[in-house]
Amino acid sequence: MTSFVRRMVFDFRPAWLAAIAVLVAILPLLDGLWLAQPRSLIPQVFVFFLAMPALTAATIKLPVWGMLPVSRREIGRAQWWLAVASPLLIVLASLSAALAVVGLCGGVAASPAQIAALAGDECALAVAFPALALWNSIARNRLAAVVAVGWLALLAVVAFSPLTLAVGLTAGALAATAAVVTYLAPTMVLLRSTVQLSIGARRAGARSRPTLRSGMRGWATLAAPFLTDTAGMAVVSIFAFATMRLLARHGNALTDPTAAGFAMAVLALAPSIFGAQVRQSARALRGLPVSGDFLASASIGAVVAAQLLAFSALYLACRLLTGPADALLRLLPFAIGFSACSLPLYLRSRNPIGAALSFPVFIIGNDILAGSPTLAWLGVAVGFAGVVAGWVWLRFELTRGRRAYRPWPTATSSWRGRQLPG
Amino acid sequence: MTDDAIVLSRVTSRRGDFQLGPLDWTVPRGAVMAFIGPNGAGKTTTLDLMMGLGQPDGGAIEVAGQHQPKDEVALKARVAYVNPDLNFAAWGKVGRAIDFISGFYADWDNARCARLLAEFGLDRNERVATLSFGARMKLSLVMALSRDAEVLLLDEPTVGLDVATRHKLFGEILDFMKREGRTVVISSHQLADLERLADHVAILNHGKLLTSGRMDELVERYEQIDGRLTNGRSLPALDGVRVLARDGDRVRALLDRKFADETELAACPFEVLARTPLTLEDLFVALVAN
Repeated sequence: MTSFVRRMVFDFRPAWLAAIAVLVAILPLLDGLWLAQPRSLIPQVFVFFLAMPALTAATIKLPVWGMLPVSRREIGRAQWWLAVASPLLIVLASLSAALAVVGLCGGVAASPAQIAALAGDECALAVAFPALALWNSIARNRLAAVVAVGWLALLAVVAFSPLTLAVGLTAGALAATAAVVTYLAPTMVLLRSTVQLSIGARRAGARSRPTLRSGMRGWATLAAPFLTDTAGMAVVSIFAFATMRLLARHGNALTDPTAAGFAMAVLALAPSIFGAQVRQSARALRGLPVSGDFLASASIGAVVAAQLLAFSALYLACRLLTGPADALLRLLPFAIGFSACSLPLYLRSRNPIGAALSFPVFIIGNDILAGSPTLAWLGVAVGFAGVVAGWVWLRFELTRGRRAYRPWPTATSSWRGRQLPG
Repeated sequence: MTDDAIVLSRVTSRRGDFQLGPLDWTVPRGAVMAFIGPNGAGKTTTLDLMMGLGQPDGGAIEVAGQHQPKDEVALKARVAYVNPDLNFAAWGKVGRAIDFISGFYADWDNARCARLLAEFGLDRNERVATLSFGARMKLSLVMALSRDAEVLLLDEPTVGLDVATRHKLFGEILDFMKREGRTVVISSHQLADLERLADHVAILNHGKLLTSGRMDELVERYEQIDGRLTNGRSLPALDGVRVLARDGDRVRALLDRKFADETELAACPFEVLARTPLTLEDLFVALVAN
């Protein structure tokens, strides 16, 4: 690692560092619990999200990095250290620390084969998302899509297989291969923003993008990318549910409701994407000849409508996969309320705190709601209150709040000219 | 070391329907080059390509004696680029962004940086995200001017700046130019400001370079003539004469002395009523809008 790469990698804001520290502190705890009782928890699930903060930070900083006197290779390496190497190192350090502490206490119940399998599994999940993102950005062609699909299929095999030594070692080997390939790719990786809504005339030759016009057609163009994103989220949530359900089948103490909670938490991320679009377009939206009431209602309405559509897909898939999925139904009003509130939260906080909150909120909320069918009414009440609160809050943010109108850096790596192939 | 700070040879770049170039353009060392053109002409694309942000489809780019992309690191170490799209919000506070950026440059001058921060009214403890648009532009300018770069590429540096700050910026650019062999390229739509500051000008339109050269020579080369057609018909096609407007028998034309033959014009059924020297703005409108 050259000094410039080191400077880019170790460039943390204190607040960001604190968030990572929390994640890093949770992992050894989960690992320790698993080592003491190998069938009780799945630490791997959290590992999957380790790379996301680093990837986001690297994406936002990329335009400035491009100006610095560093080569494309160095920028690519900095991204690799942040997105691939750091999660791997954190996973291995966490497991080692947990093993040392639990071992000193004499509480290790997992066999060496189980521990090796867990290590391999965690490594694969840690590099799964960044390797896919980096590879997709590097290749940018059909081959990238083929490899991405293959990579996802391999991951699915890993995730759906029982946690045996062979599976763990295979997963570990996959992780090592992905890490090496992305390290050797001699290019600056340009991750593109998918959340910015273009308002205005279509650029010549550019792909058709949503354009805001007056009247209902304008609202339709605003809602279209949101619905597309929500459909994507529905697919991911179905995948999440299936993964969790199948992991549960392999001996973990996971239940259907917990899997449902996890899937609904993924689905609740959709408003974060819509929030980014509203944020990018906030000034233009406020410039339209419509009232704040209408603007808030239309935005919340779009969130609720998209949630219902995506939920329908998830529910149908879950019924086909596992039979009755009552837990999902119990969570639905809760999810809608949460989504309605996460939209103004996103405008206020800039960072997708709503997304970060969704997993603990849903899993804890689910545990409460799953206790008794009568408590399902509590979910409906909470959901309704969430929609009302979300509407009031969003209206405030759009009409009186100032932060929604502040510019927000997105991944502006759409530099002019052809992107570098490597 | 060549006499040219920037040499673009047959540079092309296609982005959708937009085609930049083939662009052959040189900027002499020590010049303050006004790089102007209408919106979407390709100015930012050209500057981005010089800085290695994207790759041209063809041609060669040399800036400060360094070739792009072969010498990209050495090139970026010698060039400072200011662009309105740059955002340092990811670094939180102004001071953190400066500390990060300064670590990459051996020629960073902390004293100059502190002076510029005070001059532009920025505080190291301010959050970048809460800065106004103009203040964020000031921060980008501080980042560029705190170095001893050989070439300064300024893309719309005055956008969002108040008049007083604009004057301070021009003072800083003049100060920068006092150092030996420094070159500045300014892309801007503030033509009156550029006319006072720049000694060279290049006009780009639809991705093609219309003209480039010394400001005084270009302004002298072109002349606006107002006249009357004595035969009531149209002005015959003449080299170096372009009709800008016609109202009845009155004609306004642009005369390019480099190609126009005055005797040929005198032989035409056209009575010259007035000859008006052009400002940069007049020249821009005449060349681009017509």
